[in-house]
Amino acid sequence: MWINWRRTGQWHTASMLKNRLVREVTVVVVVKTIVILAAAFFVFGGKQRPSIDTAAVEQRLMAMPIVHGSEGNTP
Amino acid sequence: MTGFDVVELSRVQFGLTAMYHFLFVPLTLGLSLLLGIMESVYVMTGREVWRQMTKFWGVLFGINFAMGVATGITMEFQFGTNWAYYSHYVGDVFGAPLAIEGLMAFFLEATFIGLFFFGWDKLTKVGHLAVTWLVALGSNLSALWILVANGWMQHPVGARFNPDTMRMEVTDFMAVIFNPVAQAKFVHTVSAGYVTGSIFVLAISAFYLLKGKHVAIAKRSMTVAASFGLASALSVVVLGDESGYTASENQQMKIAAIESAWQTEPAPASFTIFGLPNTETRKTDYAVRVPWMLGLISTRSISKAVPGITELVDEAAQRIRSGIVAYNALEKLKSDRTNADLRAKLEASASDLGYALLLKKIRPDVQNATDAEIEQAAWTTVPAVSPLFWSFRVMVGLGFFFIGLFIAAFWLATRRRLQASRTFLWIALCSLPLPWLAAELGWYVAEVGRQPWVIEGVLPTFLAVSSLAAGNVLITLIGFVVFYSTLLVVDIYLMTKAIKAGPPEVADEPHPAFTRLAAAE
Repeated sequence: MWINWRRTGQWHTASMLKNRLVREVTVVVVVKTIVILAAAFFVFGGKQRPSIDTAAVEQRLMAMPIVHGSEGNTP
Repeated sequence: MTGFDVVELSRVQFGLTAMYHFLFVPLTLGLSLLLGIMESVYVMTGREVWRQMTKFWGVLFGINFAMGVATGITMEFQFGTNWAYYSHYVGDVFGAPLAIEGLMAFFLEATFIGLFFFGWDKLTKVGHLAVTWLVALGSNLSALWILVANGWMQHPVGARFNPDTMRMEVTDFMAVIFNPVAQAKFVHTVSAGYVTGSIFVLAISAFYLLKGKHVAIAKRSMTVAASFGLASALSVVVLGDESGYTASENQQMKIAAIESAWQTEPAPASFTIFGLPNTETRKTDYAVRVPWMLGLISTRSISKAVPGITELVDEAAQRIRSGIVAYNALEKLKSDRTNADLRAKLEASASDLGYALLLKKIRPDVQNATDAEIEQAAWTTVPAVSPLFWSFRVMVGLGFFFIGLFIAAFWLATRRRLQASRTFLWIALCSLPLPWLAAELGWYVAEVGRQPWVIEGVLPTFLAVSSLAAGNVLITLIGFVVFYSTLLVVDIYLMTKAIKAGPPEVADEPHPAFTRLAAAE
C-alpha cells in the first residue's frame, strides 16, 4: 500500500488541519470556477470567438482580397 | 487605425506568449527528472540529506510548474481566438495531439503533483518515489504531444485536403504520431530541458557553495546535476543534429536560410561558421567556411549537394504553377461538386495547393498571376536569413559551451573539488540564464525558419489568422505583455525567496560505507 495511515499520528491536529484544508480547497475551487465562467462568458465564449465553417474558409481561400493595411482581413 | 498589420500582431502575440511559456517549460522538464533521481538515491540509501534535497528542489519545481501551466493554457485559447482559420483548416489533425496531451499528460501531472507535495508523510518511500517519477513522466508526455502537433506543422504527414469540408483531414494517425520530424524535435527539446534543469541546479548550488551555506545539499546537488547534465548536453547536440537532418530532408529552405546558402553548395558542401548574410546582393560577405561539414551534417554524405535559396525559389515557382492548376480545379468544383475530372485534377496537384495560396498576398485572382508575380510569390518562401543565421550559431555555440561546463563540473565532482574551485563556481552561477537563451533561440530558428508557412507547404500564415481588428489584437497583446511580465516578476520573486531561505541545514556526514572503510584502514 502506498498510503501509510499509521503515520498521521495526532488525530486531533489532523482533524483540525483537515477542516481547514476543506475550507481552503472549497474557496479555491469556487474562486477558480467564477474566474473560468467569467472568462468563458466575456472572453472565450462562443459569441466572442469567430465562427468559422466550410463556407467561411472557402471565402477566405478562394475570394479573399489582398491582405494589406491595419484592419482585419474580413472578406 | 493602429498602423499595424493584424497578421504581424497576431504572430507577435503568439510568439511572445510561446516564449514566455517556454521560460518555464524546460525547467519543469529538467527538474522533474532530477527530482526523480535525487529521490531514488534517498530511497536506496535512506539518508535524510537526499530527502531534504528532493523537497527543496521540489519547492522550486512547484513554483515553476504553476507558472508554466498558467502561461500555457492561454496559447491553446489563441488557436481559437487569433487563428480561427488555422483551427478550422487543420483542426482535425492538430486538435487530436492537443486533446491527448490534456487527457494524458495534464491529468497525470495534476493528479500526482499534489501527492508529491502533500504525500511525504502519508505515502511509503517507494510510493512517493513512484509519484515523483509519474510527475516526471507526465511532464515529458506533455512535451511529446505538443511536439507531435508542432512536428506536423513542420512536416505535415498522414493527412489530405478534403475539398468538401475545405480542411485537412487525418488519413494515417500513426504517421502523425511517428512523424520523424516530431520525434527528432521531441528528444532534442526534452534534452534541452534536462540541460536547463541541470544548469539551474548547478548554478544555485554554486551560489550556496560560494556563500558557504547548505554545503551538504549543494555538493550532492552539483554532483547529480553534473553527471545528468553532461549526458543531457551531449544528447542535445547529437539529437539536434538529427533534428537538423530531418529538416534538411523536409524543410530545405529553412536549412538554406540558416546556412545563408544563396547558391547550391556542390558536394561535399562546406559549412559557414562566420559570415554576414547580405539580402540585397544575395551573398554571404566575409564568409569563413569549413569544408565538407555542411554535407556531413545535413546529408550525412560527401556526395550530395545542398540546395541553395535561389534554386529552392525556382522550385517554389514550379510548385506555385502546379498549385494554380489545383486552385483552378477547386474553384470550378464550387459550382460542380460531383465532377470526377475536376476532383482528379485537384487530387493530382493538391500537394501544391498551398503554394498557389501564396499568391493571395499579391493578387486575389490567383489564376491570372503573371510570371513576375509568381516569382515574387516564390521569393516570399525565403524566411529572414540573417536572424536565422545568427540565432542558430549562438544556440549551437551555447550547446558546446554547456558540454564544456558539465565536463568541468563532472571532473571536479569526481575529484571532490567542487567546493574548492571558486572560479568554476562563479562560471556555473553566471551560466544560469544561458540555457533559456539557447532554448528560446532554438524555437526562434524552428518557427521563424518555417515562415511564410503556418503549416509547411500547406497553409500560408497570412491566411490562417482570424478576421479581427488590429486594434483589438494590439490591446490584448499589451494585456498579455503586462500580465505575463507580472507573472515573471512573481515567479522570480518566489524563486529568489525560496532560494534565499534555502534547504534545512543537514550535517555533511560521509556515507556509512566510507566511515566503515576509514575505520578499517
